[in-house]
Amino acid sequence: MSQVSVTSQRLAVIDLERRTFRVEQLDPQLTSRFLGGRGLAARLLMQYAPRGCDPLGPENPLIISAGLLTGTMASASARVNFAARSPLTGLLGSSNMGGGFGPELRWAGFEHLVIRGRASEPLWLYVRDGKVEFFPAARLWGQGVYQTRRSLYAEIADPRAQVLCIGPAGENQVRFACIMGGIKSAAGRTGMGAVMGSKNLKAIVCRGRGDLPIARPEKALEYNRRVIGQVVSSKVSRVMQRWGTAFIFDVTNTTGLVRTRNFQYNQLPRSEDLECEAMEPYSQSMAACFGCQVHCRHRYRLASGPYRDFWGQGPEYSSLGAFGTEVGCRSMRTVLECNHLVNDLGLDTIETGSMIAWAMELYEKGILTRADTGGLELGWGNDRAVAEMIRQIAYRRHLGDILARGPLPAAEAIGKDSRRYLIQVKGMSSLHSDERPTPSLALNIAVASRGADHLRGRPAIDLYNLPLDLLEKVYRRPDGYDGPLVNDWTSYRGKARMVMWQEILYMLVDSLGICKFHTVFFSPNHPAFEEFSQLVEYNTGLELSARQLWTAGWRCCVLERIYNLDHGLARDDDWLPDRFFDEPTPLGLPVARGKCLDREKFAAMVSEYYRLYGLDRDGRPSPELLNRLGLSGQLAGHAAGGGQ
Amino acid sequence: MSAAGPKRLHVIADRCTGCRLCEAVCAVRHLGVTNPEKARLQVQVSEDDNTFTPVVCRQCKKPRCIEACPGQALSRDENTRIMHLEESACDGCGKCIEACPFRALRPDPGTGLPLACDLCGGDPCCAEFCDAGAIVFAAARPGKSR
Amino acid sequence: MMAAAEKKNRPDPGRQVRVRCLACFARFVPSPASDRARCPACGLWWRLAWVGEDFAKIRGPVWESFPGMEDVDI
Ligand code: SF4
Ligand SMILES: [Zn+2]
Repeated sequence: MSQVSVTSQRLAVIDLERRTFRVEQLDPQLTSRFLGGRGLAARLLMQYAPRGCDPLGPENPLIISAGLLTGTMASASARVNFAARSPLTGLLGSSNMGGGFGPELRWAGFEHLVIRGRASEPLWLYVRDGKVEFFPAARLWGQGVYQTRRSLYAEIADPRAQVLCIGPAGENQVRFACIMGGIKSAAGRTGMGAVMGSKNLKAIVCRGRGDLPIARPEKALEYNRRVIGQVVSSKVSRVMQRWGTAFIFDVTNTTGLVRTRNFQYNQLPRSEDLECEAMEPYSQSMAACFGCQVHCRHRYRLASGPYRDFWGQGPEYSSLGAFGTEVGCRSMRTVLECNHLVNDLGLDTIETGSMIAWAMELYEKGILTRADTGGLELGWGNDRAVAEMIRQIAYRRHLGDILARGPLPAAEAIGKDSRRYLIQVKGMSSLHSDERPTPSLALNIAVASRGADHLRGRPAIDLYNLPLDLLEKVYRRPDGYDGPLVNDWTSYRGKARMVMWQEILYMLVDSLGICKFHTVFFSPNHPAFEEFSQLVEYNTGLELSARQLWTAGWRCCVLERIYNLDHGLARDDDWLPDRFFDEPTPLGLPVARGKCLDREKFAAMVSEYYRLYGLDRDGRPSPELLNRLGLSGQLAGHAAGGGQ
Repeated sequence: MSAAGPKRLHVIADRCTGCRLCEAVCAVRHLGVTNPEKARLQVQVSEDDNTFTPVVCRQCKKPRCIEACPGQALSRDENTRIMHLEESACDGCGKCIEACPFRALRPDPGTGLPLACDLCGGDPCCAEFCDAGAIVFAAARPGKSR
Repeated sequence: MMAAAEKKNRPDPGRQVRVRCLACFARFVPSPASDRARCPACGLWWRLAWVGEDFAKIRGPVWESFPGMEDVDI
């Protein structure tokens, strides 16, 4: 097995055609520049994916990357990132999950797997103790995630192994198929499951018995305990320990920040059964990712129905929108059953719910009819139709085959003016949050590097009306930003900074392998750059100041943008659908009612965001910026702007 | 020391969330690495079967492991119940491992010697890091309610 | 040493339970263990959930009294 070292990461390049692998040590410089996880994955994608490759072709690599702190026992250091060119957007494909796979990969001797080519017949990989083995998976092909896991655990007889797999949706190359790790953890967004399916790769089993050295064990134990204490002592962590992310629903639906009936309303009144407390009769207990004391996941089992023999975990806040408000359903039971369905079939919850909600609006408008849906009555609040549509998408039947292509190709296939009802950015649908009343949150989804996505830069604490001095303590560090900051979430002022700050912070935690609920996401008092600098030092021995981590995060964010520019991204793509500007919100509390975004102010916000990043007015990095971030030499010939 | 006797590790399995932080910190405390195979306790987790069970050394009143040791390599302080493995006296015969009725004792995959729990010298880090309260270090078993 | 679990979530009887009105952002003190409360500042009625004895949160509005719902039919 290759040598473990904190600065030189271990990578296996796996060739599915030849069924071979080779192990490499990465240049240690890459660690201090791109850290690991999502950041380093973007760098590896640049290297291994031929520019413009077919996302579902053999040249598109699937890159699996553990974070720099993954498996170290730092607070919730569980995460592992998946990268490829996205079959959903044609841009950056990037998604990460918690659970147990990331740490196991490191104990098995690798920080990264680069999976290339396409197997001639279905395979599964066994990654253990520094080796990669190839096994036939014809028997597993067609099985759901739950059954696949049972089959594999029975075959390997090792309950401590970790299993990643795709379901029928990935096999059928649904453009928003996910990769499942465990029964709940998912690399949900940007269609990484379709990439895996296109490679004829059904599953990856991982088991490791190797050491992951901690640089300063005594210090690390003490400091890790302190940081965990910092996280669990916040009010929001106490709420999440009991109800998970579903707690958000109570606040956002009450206020009027929840997409309802696709985008027709911003609130679903009298939906008590979707509130997080409605989960209590179903929840047996809570589960956590590796090393996490927040344990945000309910463990539940339904007494009847097709999934009565299977344990489920969740639901997330996103499930309450996808199978609740967006489709006009008011039943926790439906949410739980659909949660089972998407996890078992291997579909991204957010994209699936959004596509169905959009189809329902088209059905209401008469753009789609029963002739298109295979006879299905696609009316709002038709719980049974939602579940059936999920199956249609996974198995590509009837309308499901069109929806499975993702928002933009589906709109093209359906035609008429179906496209104007889509709630998407860069070809990826949005969470069920309604950003019309909240300029900062709207900017976040408009500019996010993988399409409409809240997890790339959401300044959620903007919604708290925090005292200005607290807001300043958060957002002026660590680089001494001295521009405007405003604690009124209806304002456009100073919000570009919040989004940029959150983007760089989230890039950092995604690259370290830390869960976002353990940083400044829902609490201003959670760890940020300073704490992560200490965590990195004690756990890995790498001395990177808060400022250096900020720069590394910035570098990785710009790198992701370069990848997108290389694949056709333009300023127009950092923008929202017309409905955000033209249709005022009809419901909610006064603060959120009658609101839509102002085009001019929004454009100014995008420009401010570019300026803060050091991008030109088209959103392209200037030569000075590339120089400053040390990206120019490496990326000569890529999308440098500013020249014209 | 309280009248209730020495403090011991107690497991309240229905509180366990399966995070396995205890495994990680245990190996770091003793060996400076994370590696669940080298932890002195183990959490059996199966999401599919909804199993979340920490398996720890119980500091038994009558320690079968120590009784089974033919070379007197394994011993403990009867006041604190802190176990000690004299490595030079242990040839890794595995008798102690077989003797443990809870299967709490396992061999170090590197050296083959038993990974005996020494309660971190009296302040076990598994319990210190378990905020869920599934592993508790106390003289008496705490009540089940949270 | 006190076990971590005992330290955590220890009710703090000295702490006053306060919730923030989602409509007007005023903070107010609900009566202990009640499942409804009215914001003294703006008069809206809220349903409450209790995280612990010392910690209440708003669960949702009392929809019958929610403003501007007269002709909403969804
Ligand atoms: S907070 Fe939830 S998602 Fe994050 S690490 Fe913990 S259990 Fe996993
Ligand atoms: Zn009020």
